[in-house]
Amino acid sequence: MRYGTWLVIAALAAWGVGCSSDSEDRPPPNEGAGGQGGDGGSGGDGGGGDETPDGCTVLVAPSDDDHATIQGALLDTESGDVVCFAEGRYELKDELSLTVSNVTLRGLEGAVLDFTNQESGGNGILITGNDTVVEGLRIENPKGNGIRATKVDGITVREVEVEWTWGPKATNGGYGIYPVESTRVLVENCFVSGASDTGIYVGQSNKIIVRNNEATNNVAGIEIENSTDADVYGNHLYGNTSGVLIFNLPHLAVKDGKRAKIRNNLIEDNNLDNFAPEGNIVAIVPPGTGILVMASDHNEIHDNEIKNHDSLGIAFINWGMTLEEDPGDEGFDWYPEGNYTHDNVIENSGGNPRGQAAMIAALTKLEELPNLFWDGVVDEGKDNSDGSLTNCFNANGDATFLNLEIKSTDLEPNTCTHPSLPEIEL
Amino acid sequence: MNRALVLALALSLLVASCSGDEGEAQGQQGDPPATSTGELDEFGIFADARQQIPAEGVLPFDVIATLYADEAWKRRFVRIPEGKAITYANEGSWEWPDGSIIAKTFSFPLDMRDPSLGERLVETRLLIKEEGKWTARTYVWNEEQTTTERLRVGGIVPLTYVDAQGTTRSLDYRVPNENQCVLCHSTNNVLEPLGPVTKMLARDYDYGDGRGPVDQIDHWASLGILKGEIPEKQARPSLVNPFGDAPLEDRARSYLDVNCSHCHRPGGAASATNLLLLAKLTNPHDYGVCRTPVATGPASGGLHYDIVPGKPDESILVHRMSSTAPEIKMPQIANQTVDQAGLALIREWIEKMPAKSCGGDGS
Repeated sequence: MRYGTWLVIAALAAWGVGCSSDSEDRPPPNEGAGGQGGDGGSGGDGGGGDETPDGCTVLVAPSDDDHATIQGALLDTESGDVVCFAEGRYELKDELSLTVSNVTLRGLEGAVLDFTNQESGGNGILITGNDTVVEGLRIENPKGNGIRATKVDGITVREVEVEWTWGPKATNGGYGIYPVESTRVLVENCFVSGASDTGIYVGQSNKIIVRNNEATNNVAGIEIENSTDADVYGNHLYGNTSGVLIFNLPHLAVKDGKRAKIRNNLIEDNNLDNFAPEGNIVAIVPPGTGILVMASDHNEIHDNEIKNHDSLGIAFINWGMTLEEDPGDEGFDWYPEGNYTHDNVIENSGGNPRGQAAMIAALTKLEELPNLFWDGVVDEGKDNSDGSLTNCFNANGDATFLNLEIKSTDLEPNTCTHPSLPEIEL
Repeated sequence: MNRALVLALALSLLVASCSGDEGEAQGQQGDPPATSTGELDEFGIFADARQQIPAEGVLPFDVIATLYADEAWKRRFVRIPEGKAITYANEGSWEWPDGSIIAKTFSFPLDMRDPSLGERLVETRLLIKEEGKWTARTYVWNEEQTTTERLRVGGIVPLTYVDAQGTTRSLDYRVPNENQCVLCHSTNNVLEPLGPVTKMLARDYDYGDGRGPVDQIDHWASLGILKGEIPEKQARPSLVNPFGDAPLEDRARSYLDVNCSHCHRPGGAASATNLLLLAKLTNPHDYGVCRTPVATGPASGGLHYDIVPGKPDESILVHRMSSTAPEIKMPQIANQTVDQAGLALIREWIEKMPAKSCGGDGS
């Protein structure tokens, strides 16, 4: 009888839409699961106390048409609802989408959304409602991205797993967890493995916390792109091509990302071959990179443990290093400026430069690359008389350094400090 | 307990409760008309929905360039509440009064070479404006073509038809779920109409009143359902028929506008890419020429630029238009087939651009 009431509810949720179409027909969310199908489902009362679990206003369970069951529930949902997914494997051939605001999607223990046979849609779950929480779900093998949130104010992704179960492949979806053009973004306690671009990618967004996540087998573990005010901490990034990327790209509507605080992360053994398809910007990232900052300003990188990387520990490059076409975007600032890197521990880094890092090593006739790398290119047109645009390095133990432009390993000109960035509050 | 049995039981319970509801409703309203096509009738769009004959006061319309939908034919209708009017705008959405309804019926002629052989109605989609907001509804036609049922969650309708070349086609036509309406029909996640806008309506329509084809916007204005500062016809923005006789450049840009710009524009669902496919834009980089993708993931096909002038086979645009794989295909949803005519048009357009290297790692 374990499935009894849940299945009834699932079936009613899926079919109820066919006979009673007005959402006004359904009872208020706090009257429990079943929606407008409550009449038909009342028999469940005699079934031995199988109730909707505490905290859930709607419960879905595996059925013979999982997409209809879940999408039906997501179409019927109202602000304040908690849509719970019962244990089991949901076979999904189509993207799921949520447009209603202030809804929680909660996977109960053992709920797996399996997109292995997905036929339609560019994401596993697409979210366009504000103040959405997705938690406790496992998502397997989406054809495109795992969870995408577009243009939302308030998105939390918590204790979610996204995995391409066969490991790294160029045909895997680009991003595991993908909030974009959004504000108030929280990604915590998640696990992502196998993304052909980035495990947790936050793009063109503001006010971001990415904490206590785990990412492996991705090209990048975490990327903050064209985004401002991010706090990235407590993450464990290992076995990727690279750990953390902070990029600004030209020609986007949201430019000038800045102020990412990357702290207290464990970033180790990110030496995976770069398996991103050509044409993606991450395809340029050298295998064996800890943290790479491109064209982004006023970031603070501190108290990270970064070890066992073939190519780069912490590196700062300007857009020109990508060797892409001159972007011709007048509003785009090519140069990483005013970044502050301090109190990091960098071990066993740069001993086997690969990809573009091998080219840099060849250029500089170095067999090993230093722990801290800056391409050294400065924008002569800017006034830096107050030093606010200097990339500062301080108290990173005995980390070695290279300024590529002037081929100098002397850290003295860049030994300085900037004010620490505040923690982000959402 | 056997799960399948439980499910079957649940469904039978539900069916019983459904038919009970309907009986009650019908009892209150009296017998339905002989031509009832279900809840769809309640919106007053059709005098005869099966024949797609509009009700009195409902205006059929047509657009100059159509979004490809697996070769489906489309019929469009609009109903404006008595005494109300739309406020015209040159660009973007018009301001519609509450109570407005826009309907579109998708169908497949049994034989595209001879439409008189009959057709299969598949779905009728409605956009309804209430309390300042648009909502979407989808009604799917049964195989017998006698009635419709609202299908919120989307689904697959297996179809067979003979195409314009005489080839028999089998198609799993995909009805989008009602959330997916917002994917295309939105600015900043807010639902809005796409078809009845100035650039799309710029064509003549024969209303069968003896005047022959007349300009649709002029006609709507003459009926009093379209008001505001409406410029002379020549001053209104307009797309062209992508498969008409306008210059290639205009046809290709109009094709991209109608098939892509609902997402690829500022505020559209794909605005994060900033690849902007509105026909009115003049900077080639904006619409993809030598433009590097941002978040294309596995869809790049190993290519570096959206459009490489002179080289359609090196252009991501062509690669994605040529695919039906969900992670690659463009447009992203709905279609199951490649728009071969559209693809040929875009290939020709890129082919005839003066060849140019985009630099970098690309070509």
